[in-house]
Amino acid sequence: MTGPMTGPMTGRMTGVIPAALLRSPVITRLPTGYPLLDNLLGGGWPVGVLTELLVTGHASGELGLLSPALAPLTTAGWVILVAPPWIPYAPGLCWQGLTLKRVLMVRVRQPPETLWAAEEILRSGACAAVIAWVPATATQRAGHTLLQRLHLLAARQQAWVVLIRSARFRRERSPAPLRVQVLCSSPATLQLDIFKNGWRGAGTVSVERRF
Amino acid sequence: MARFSKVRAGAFLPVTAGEPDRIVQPALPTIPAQLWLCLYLPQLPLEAQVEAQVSQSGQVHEEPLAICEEQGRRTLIVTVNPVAAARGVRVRMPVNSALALVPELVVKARNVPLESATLARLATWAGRFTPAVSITSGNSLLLEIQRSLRLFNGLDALQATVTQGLRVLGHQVHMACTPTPRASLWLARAGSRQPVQTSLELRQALAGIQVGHLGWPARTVQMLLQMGLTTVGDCARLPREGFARRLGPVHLRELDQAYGRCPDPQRLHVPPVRFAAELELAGETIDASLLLDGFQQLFQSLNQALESHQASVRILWCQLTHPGGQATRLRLGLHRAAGHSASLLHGLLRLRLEALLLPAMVISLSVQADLLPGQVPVGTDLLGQHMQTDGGLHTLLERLRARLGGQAVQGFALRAEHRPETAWRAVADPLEEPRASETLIPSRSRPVWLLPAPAPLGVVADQPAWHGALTLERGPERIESGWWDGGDIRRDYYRASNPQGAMLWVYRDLRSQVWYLQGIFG
Repeated sequence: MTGPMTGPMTGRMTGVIPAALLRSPVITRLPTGYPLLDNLLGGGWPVGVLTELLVTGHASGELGLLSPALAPLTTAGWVILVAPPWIPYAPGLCWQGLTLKRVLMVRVRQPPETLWAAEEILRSGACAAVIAWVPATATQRAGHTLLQRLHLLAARQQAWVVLIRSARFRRERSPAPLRVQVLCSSPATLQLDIFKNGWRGAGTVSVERRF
Repeated sequence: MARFSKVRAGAFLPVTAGEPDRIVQPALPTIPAQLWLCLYLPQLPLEAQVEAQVSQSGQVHEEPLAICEEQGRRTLIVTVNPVAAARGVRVRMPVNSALALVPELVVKARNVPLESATLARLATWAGRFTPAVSITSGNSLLLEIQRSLRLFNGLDALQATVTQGLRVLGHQVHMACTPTPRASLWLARAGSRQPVQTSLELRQALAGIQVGHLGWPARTVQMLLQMGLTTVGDCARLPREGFARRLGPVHLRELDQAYGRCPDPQRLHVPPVRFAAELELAGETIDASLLLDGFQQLFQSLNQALESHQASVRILWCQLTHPGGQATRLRLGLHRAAGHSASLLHGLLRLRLEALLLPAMVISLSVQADLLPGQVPVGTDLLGQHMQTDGGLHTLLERLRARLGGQAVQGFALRAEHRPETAWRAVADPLEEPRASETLIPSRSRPVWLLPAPAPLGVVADQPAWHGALTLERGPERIESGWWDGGDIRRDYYRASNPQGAMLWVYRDLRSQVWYLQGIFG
């Protein structure tokens, strides 16, 4: 064995396997629609795991960012938006290329119901993607356990699950293998800070916003 | 017209053996296999509304009341109550004339769904006289009574019983009884009381019916009268081919049906089936899992009932009875009718019971439901394909609605509208939406978020501001629309960005010059 990962210690320590020898699990990926971002993520948004987008405020362009990947999903599967901050505007969704009859919205009355609804949706296995706007108060108690359950369900149902959370959760631990902070640096571009990227390295990329 | 007159002149010749194509031919069965009793309720539009009002408020109308209906460009009175009739209000009178005659007249619009429901209830009631009851157009029920005559001591006694029963229920009735359903219907409308049992009597009775009582379109009736044909007998003497050509094959067929020359199948009324089951618990309990187990047993028997009746269910009532007689009732409403649904119902009830605080111990459980005709296919078909498409989604949506409220789930569709706030609509049942609106595609860029209502923006240094002064990036797009329905708008739309990089959809109202935020991009 050669390379930086093999040192004199490796062979002697039992139970320790160098990370480079592990093959990352096969993950289906959805092309993001942005070639630079695809490169960084290894082919696209990962399906069957949790993805977290951290945003500041709600006008951060997250739905526009996800739309190129959502559009092909809506031709065959259902896409469910859980607790969106405003009314998803049908002509705008249509303009982004989504097939409207396959898009559903679920409104909740109290913040904790957001994760409950997301879990129900994943458990039913009836949809291809769940985008949930998780309020800060929804993850106060046992938040990590709830997220872990979602993560396992996403893997079982092979659904694309995106949680939109406030940027102040950046320092908290999360089971999501892909965590991205979205910065709305200018009206024309989004700055994506991919600070947790599964087996790959972190990085930043800026993508052009499409209206 | 002139040509037809010639034909008619020939048509009055006596029927001879050499002319086989008359509407009425001599051959008819002499002993009728069936006897149809028609119950025609001329006052149904009025009676249905009075009944609904009495059941709500317990009062009987003593003031003059009339029911009106739009016919063409005019609104005419269709039925009046005795008080109004005594004051001179007549059927087919324009509403304005009626009001001029009796200023305190209460005029109500006809409520057709209510009438249908009343008629369906009466059809179920009429099931006590014969199993074959059908509801026909024009406020009538048809009962096949040939085999019921002996039981009810003959036709006269049966008719008396029916009249008496309907009077108790608050309905006036005209009855006629003939071997064919259509002849009964026409005779009942014409107000004939003579019972008809033989084919000869049938021909005589039909011959005298005025064409105005046939329920044919006004234009057709007008045409017949202009030709000098005033009764069914006149029509029946015409050559078949010419009659069908001038008045349409449908009317010829109806004549044939009335004379018993061609079959007139009736769609029989199926009374609704109610499911009710009760379960005594072994002991008093308040444990939700024990209660759920009990309900699960009841749901299993509901499933069997659904299966054997080939029915589905939409609303059911679950009752938990406490010692001392009080009960907690839970209504489980499904957005779409479901068939084999014990597991779905169990899941929904669990969600409801979890949110419920029971006031006392429970001693017995019961479930009640109206079974709807029509089975919802479940399972797999011959080729192993799932027959219930999106079945998983259906269950999911019912569960989400049970916990989050009936309006919690919605879909989206476009509308052909220029006004942004009305260019879309919410779809309450996304699984059942007809796919017609998909051909619409917005021609311009639109934001993905819409505010529930446009929010007025502050102004900083003559520029609109939202978390900082806005820069107008693109526009204006002028939208002027809606003068026809009162929602008139005149607006200039812009795409604007604020210092945080948010892209907004703002407009300036051209009347008030106020800036509003209506949507958010991306």
